[in-house]
Amino acid sequence: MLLEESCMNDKEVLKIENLFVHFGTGSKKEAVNGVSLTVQKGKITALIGESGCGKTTVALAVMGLLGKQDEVKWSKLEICQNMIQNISFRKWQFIRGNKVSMIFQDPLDSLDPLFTVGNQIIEGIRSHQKVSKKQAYNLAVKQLKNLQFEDAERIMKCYPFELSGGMCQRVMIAIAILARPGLLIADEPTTALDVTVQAEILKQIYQMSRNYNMGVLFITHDLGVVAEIADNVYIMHNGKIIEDGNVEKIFNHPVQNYTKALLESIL
Amino acid sequence: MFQFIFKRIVQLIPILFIVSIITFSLSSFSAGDAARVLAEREYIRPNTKEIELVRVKYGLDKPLPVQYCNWLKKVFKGDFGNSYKNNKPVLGEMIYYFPNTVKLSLGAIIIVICISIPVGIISALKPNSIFDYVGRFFSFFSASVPSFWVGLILLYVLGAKLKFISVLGGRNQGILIPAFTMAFGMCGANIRLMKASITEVLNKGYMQAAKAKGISCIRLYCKHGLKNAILPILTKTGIMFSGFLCGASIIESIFSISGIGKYALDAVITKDVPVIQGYVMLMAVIVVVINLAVDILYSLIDPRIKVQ
Repeated sequence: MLLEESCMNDKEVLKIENLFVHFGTGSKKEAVNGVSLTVQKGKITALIGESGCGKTTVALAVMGLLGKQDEVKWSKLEICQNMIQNISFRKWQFIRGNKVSMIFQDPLDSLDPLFTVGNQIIEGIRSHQKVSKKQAYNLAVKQLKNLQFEDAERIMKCYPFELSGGMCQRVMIAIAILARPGLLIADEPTTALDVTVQAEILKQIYQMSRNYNMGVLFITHDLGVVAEIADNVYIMHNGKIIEDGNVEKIFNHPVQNYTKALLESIL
Repeated sequence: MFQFIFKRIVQLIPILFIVSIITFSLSSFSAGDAARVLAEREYIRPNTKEIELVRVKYGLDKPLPVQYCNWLKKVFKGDFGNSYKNNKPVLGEMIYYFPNTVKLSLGAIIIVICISIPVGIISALKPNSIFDYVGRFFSFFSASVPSFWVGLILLYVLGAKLKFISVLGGRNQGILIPAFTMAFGMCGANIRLMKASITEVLNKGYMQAAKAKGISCIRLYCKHGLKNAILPILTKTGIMFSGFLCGASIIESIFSISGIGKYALDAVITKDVPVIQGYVMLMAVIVVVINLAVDILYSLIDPRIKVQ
């Protein structure tokens, strides 16, 4: 039994047990109420729910990005075999970008407008790897080329406002996967993009997950996207996980009325 | 970059031209009869004939546009005319008085920056802490207390009671206390602005994304936070510096500093038209140059400005 558990843990890149989040805004309601979920290595796990149900809050809690005024509690939070409990900013610094990375909803807002794309990628590399600026530059160019940027050297010199939303999101993906983290959290990465660019970004996230054996927590409210790329699905409603299972089970044999209603909305 | 600077300089020419027209017209209309003032300098109790003689002598009988053109021609050559009060060239007098005002204003701006930036940053990073409350109280206090009152209190306490500074002014007085008086009122507004700016930047998506990359605390706050938050402060500091240079007259009068503000104030009282015109033109040029410098600095920090 212990051995089985250990083998299973090796495959898990994220394990959350009983996550509670209460915003320090005076509201009595829990934003996240006892969420438990796991993400496995090389698999894409979708977290679905309507806007405001607490999906992004789960992601921010996992990344340690919620405000100091917010109350965050959990029974267990494990990221790539790192137990997270009362850890310092320095330890977070090691985990973020290295063990877990995140892609945000609005790519244009996620890149600092005052620095070039190259500067921001190199900064990410040098935060986790002891390499010279030149080596970091070469790594960044290589990564951008992997993400189908043919003129990577030019892109490195561009400021975020000189790129399109899709290009910025690909830059964000490049930053997120540079250190080959075990877990990638993608928070509605295609919502702010054109339909034509959405498919390309999804394809790249899927390929990254398979190529680098990376677990992906894919947050979305788009069930069409989930059907396309996800392996496992968690349905969230009012801060709680109400149903979970593999994608076939959820799409073909939903149990909860809310899940059925969600599915009906796209049929 | 050079194209950007050239464009901005070209834009300044019509502004200065309009300012020169307004300056000349307003001072000509509002300062009373300049011929009478000049005649009083040359004759004891001048009669109408003598005033008319002076009017012709100085070209004051000509139409106002002709007078303006003659004045502008001289201004281009650096000649603002002679003071009615002591017959000395206005430009020479302004060059003599101006460095004192620059010293005072620079001192004040350094004090504002040294107080408001750290206090604003800490208040934003530690909201509702004791530091934030003290900062908030200080900002309200400094914004609501007039600077001349602060000056008089400091002069009374540090000058009359403790004898740290000279009440009569002069070289022994130093620049610190007058500069602090000048800076005091502006500190509060700047602390609030810095706090608001940092708070806004901290909530931006790129700050969250930078944190998610796992960069160090110093890099996060100093590189991304401060650089983005400093932009509105830069504009405000430019405006404030112009304000200090142009509005130094009260502080200079309280602390008996021979600055250009006091010089101009005396000129207004004695209806010394060439001095008033010279002063206003000099201040207009200074405001315009400082704004240009701020624009250039802004464009160096924010690449989006160059594109616009």
